[in-house]
Amino acid sequence: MSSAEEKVQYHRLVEEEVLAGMRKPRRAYWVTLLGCLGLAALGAVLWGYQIKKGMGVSGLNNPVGWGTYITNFVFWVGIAHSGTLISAVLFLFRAKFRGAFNRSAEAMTVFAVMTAGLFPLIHLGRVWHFYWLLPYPNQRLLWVNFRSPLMWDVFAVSTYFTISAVFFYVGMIPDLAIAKRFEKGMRKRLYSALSLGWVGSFRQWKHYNKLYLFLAAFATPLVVSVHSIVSWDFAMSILPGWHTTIFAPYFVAGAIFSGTAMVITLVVPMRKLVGLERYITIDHFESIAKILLFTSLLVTYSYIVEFGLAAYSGSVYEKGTFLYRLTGDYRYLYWGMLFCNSIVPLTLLVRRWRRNIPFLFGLSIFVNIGMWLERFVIIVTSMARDFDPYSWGIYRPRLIEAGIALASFGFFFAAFLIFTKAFPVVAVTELKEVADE
Amino acid sequence: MSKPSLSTRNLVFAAVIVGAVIAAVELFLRRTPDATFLVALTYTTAIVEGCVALAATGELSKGVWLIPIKRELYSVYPLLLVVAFLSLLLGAKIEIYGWSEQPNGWLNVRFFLARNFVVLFLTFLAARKLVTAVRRGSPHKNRYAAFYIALFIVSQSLVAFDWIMSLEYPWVSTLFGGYFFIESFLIGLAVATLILFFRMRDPSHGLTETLRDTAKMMFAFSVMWVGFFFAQFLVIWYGNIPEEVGYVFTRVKEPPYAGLSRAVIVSVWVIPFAVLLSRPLKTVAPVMAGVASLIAAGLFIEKLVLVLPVARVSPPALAIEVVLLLSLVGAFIAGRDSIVPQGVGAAGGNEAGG
Amino acid sequence: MIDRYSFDAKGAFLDKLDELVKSGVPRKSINTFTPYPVHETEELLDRSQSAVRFFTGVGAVAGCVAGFAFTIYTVLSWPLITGGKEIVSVNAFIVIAYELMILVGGLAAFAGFLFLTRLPVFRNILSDSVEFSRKFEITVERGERS
Repeated sequence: MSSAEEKVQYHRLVEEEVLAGMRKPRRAYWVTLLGCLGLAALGAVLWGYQIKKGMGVSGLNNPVGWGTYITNFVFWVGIAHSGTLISAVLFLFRAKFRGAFNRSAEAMTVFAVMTAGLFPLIHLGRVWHFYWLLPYPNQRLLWVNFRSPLMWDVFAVSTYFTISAVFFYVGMIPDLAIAKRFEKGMRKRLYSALSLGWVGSFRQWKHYNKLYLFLAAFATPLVVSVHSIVSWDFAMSILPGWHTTIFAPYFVAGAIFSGTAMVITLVVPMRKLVGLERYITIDHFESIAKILLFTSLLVTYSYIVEFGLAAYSGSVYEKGTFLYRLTGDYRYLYWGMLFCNSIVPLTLLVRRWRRNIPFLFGLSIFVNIGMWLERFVIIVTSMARDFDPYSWGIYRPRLIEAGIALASFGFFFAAFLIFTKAFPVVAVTELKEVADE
Repeated sequence: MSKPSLSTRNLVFAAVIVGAVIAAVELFLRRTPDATFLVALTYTTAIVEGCVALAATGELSKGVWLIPIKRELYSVYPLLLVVAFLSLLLGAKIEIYGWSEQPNGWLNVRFFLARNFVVLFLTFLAARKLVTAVRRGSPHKNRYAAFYIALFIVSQSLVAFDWIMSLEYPWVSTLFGGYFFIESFLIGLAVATLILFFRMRDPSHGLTETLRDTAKMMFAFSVMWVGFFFAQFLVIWYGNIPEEVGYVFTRVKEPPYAGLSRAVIVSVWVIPFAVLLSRPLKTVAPVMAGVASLIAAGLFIEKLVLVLPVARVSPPALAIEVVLLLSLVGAFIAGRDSIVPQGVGAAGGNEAGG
Repeated sequence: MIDRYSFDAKGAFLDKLDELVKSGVPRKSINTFTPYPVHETEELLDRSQSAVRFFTGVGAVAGCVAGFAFTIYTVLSWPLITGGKEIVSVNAFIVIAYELMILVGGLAAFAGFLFLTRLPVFRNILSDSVEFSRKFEITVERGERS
């Protein structure tokens, strides 16, 4: 980007290529979208069936009252976090490689939180009672229990959704104004309205910069606090395996880990299909892969500390829980989790593999599976065997739960696919700014 | 500068003298085992490891802002060897640990001393490899930076779990290790700020932006520290289970530790948070030095709060040991020219463009 | 009367802006339109901090206070002991207050931004005459000369 002429050309090129992705989609897109929507619809049907017949159609019972629904909740909230990390935290650290990913990451955050938010409702059974969670004045003078971590979740996840959505939208305003230029008719009016009449004047940029900085500064503690609060759903209990102080940073590291893997899973095909190889380069992927490696090591550290201190403590309950995880009914899932989360990502120590996009894509799938398994193992094993042997039991997920879990992926991917056609998937304005430096 | 820089020989001499004095005092003069030396050593280890960890993180993240003070941060690395050998001295004070009477597979005197020494020694080796690689401008320096960070995390975790947590065996907090390495990093940032304060007395310093960036990092890690504190506290408070809650209750609710805990939180988080929010103050070196000193003092009191309910400490001996060890740290930083020669910081670390 | 200068590249744009400022044109009458934020324009035209920070600060404090006030009020209004915690369990309420602080602070910042920039500009939304372009533009409002 040396001469002024080249920079001008680049500005035009980046606009055209990125916005070309929003044009009429090909058949493969429609097929995939239909498939995802179909899956989501299947989920809706299954959920309706569960509402009609009751929670007994799922495998939930005594002693394991929390199963795949809560696993999915924690999984999707975790996915959401790395979007905010890539967007907000890397902004605060002025990391240049952020520009290629941050729009997709922010979109991923918003859609993942939406997906996550469905699961407490699904898990509730009597969904129509959900409003009891909200603190509204009522004639019985009842208030919600603010001491409960589940109540903290309501506030945390709603705040996270709102701020992430605002951050996502605000980041897009200049790009929407660009999109307005490329469209005609109704779509032009729509982008015009969405961009609020943005023209990039001096005053607008001045306040915009400050707003973006504050939103990034707010989103950062949000990343840490929301998943800490979700982890406290478990840590505030007294169950061995759940009641442990490391849960907050452990879950946050795990969230960033699984979310970064999901970013790779989404961006690798998207880059090919929308034709963005010029803007999302192998160097960008290597930077993301390093985050993946680092968070994998943090998660491994947590595994070692938890296991080690359980042995150290001499508590028969702690030792029992961890031995059950390693050798009990769910041992294959536990070993699978260790393999996918701790062993496989070690391959990222090799530079050649860090820079191999198909390899990263495959690895990201392993990590997604491993992190789902981790949530399942943590939740189910501590409930299946707690203090009293008389109350030990087994949880086997039923097909309806598997169906709803799959449907959540369909819902998420459908939302993401629609996003790729409705909005610019790369931060055009930012790319221009970085190119000109 | 017209001041003669401290040569390597002077520094080694100083280190040996300080080590010998402390060893002599602890082994011969102060026979009754108490936790004085433990506190002094834990605090010094946190400082030394934190400084090098900060520099190593700068290498890995290609943090351009750190470059002006990298040499000073690296210059304390030989003290890792001093700390490793001093850790063996804990053997003379082992009676402060209840488990020394009833050892088990993990907590027995030999294994305790051996593993801590080995890990600290390996940390020293990693730091040495890193500094050598940085001096030579070697392309592999990132690898050594990563090794150092890994060993830093392991050794600080061991310091936390073995040296401090096992004082109240069988009390367990899985976050303790993480809490300690965040503290170490924070204290490294405080030292970095103090280094900048001293460097900025020279009017042609050009370090304003570095100070601003260091202040921002100190803000972030101060908040992270209080987050970790709260995470540990909230879980133990909420569960209220007898095997855990006594530890926290003593230190947070019972006088005199309650007051000390409050002082710790005020000096490590409340005041730094309020001061570091202000944009103009972040470049005023004396104010930043004040905040950094407050954080360093607060983290020292925190170590005392962790240890005092279980073991005694002799204030005059502690004062002497801490002053000796901190002076050693200061001497090594002042003598950076012999440990990490000039012209290395800029060339070795700067991948232009980030 | 408005003078317009349009440039394709940042360098020429900044040179002209510098020239205008140095030639004594009052800063208040100069406006710029850029495809991305150019920090040098702030240095040349108006170094004052954006007032968004006041909205943010007020919002954050309001959210925090509201968080504590609401939780403490409700728990005193019907004092139920759960889990053996004290009635006013501040540690638990810290979490709620913290989240509300971020929520209200963030929304206040956004509202402040809209207010200060007078967005949305309905005229721009409905018409296509003014667009967010690729060019770097400077406009100078020249007053009536006698």
